[in-house]
Amino acid sequence: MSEMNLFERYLNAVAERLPEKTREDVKRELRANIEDMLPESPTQEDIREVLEKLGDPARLADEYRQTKRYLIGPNLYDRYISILKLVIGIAIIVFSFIGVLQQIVNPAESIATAPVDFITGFITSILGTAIDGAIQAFMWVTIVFACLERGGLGEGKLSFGKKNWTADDLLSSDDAAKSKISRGETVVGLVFSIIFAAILIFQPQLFGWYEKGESGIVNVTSFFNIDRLQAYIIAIIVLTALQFILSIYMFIVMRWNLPLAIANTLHNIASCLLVFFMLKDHAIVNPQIISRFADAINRPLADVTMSLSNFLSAMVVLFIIFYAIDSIMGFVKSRSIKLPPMKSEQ
Amino acid sequence: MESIEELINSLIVELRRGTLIISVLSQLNSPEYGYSLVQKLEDKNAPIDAGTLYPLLRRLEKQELLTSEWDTSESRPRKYYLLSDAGKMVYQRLKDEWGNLSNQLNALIMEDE
Repeated sequence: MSEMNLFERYLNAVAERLPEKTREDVKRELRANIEDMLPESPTQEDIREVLEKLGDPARLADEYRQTKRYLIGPNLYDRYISILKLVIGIAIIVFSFIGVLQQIVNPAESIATAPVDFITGFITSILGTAIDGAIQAFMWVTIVFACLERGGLGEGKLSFGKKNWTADDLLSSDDAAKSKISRGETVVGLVFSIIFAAILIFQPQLFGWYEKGESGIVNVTSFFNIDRLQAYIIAIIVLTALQFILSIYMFIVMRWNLPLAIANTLHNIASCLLVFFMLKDHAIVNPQIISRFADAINRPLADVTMSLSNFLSAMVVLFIIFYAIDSIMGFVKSRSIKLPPMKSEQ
Repeated sequence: MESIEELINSLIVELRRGTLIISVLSQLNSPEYGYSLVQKLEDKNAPIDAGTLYPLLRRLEKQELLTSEWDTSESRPRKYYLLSDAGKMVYQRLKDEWGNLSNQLNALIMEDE
């Protein structure tokens, strides 16, 4: 009985690693094959020998599956590691900064009555948010790379839709220099998406008006009406995630191409729409901050409301101009649009 | 120099891997089941690991080079594999390619001697 047990255990160890669809058939076939390899009324030793000849069930199951046995393949691995370091570094800085803000705004202990506790609380809070940031960064970078790997980027298909490499793909050094995405450009993109995610998604109340209250406590009046902001949160998360993916993609391909320019433009249009609706939505601004601000500068509330409204409209226009330029530059740099040569160019 | 020995072994495995499919296809003009094929290849001095062969048969079937059928008429059910039309065509092409390759290689190796 125990030798049959060994046999069954082996079959199950292989089968459990296989997709449901093929499991039963593979098991049935493997059972027949192993029975064929065994003599009549086999001893425990016979079974052992045959199973050991077939080898590790995990390896055998891998042979049966023939799917990717890795999350991130060798083609993307180096870039994965360098982006991971970069993003974790940025996330630690941004999240530590948020940790500091949180402690200033909302300390667990008062610095006046319990300075030691205040400092311990301060350090723990910063360490906590920094570790949180690092873990989030690790998770998201890994998820994005695993998706890119499964999307076929690992097999050298660096730009979508391109089938075979031809000599025409070699850029002149002039074109190569112009289409190159600088590391700085990508880092800026990543920093912005991380700051956005960290503040708007996780800690929106930190974006506000800071003033010194009684006994050294800092009072903060949130700029946003947090409840109202929640209505936009899904759109913010999606767009931030897209920005993040785009930045990583840019980091991998290292130069502009047409699909990237199109994706960038679509992302920019969506961002413009979001900014437009958010800033045009008067309910999104916390009414308290308007009265605080009016008090602070000694102006009537109506004036401040009016100026704020103008300021927000100006912001919308600025955003649209910024995104429009960014989109056009993407096309120009991907060499899809040729600009007339400028005088300053050599 | 164990590392040289290991290197040679892995190179031999690599070299044989490409030829496995030809040896398997060559034996499937008549239906065979997994273990009978292991024995057949062993008898003909071209042994192949059972753990490599069984999954390979399924893979070739999925690529439509082989057809398969369960035979349940005997006491022990067995899955028989046979070359499909596409498999015959592929086998012919691989055989030609192998002929060319071994001629080329032989010519290269002869230079040395």
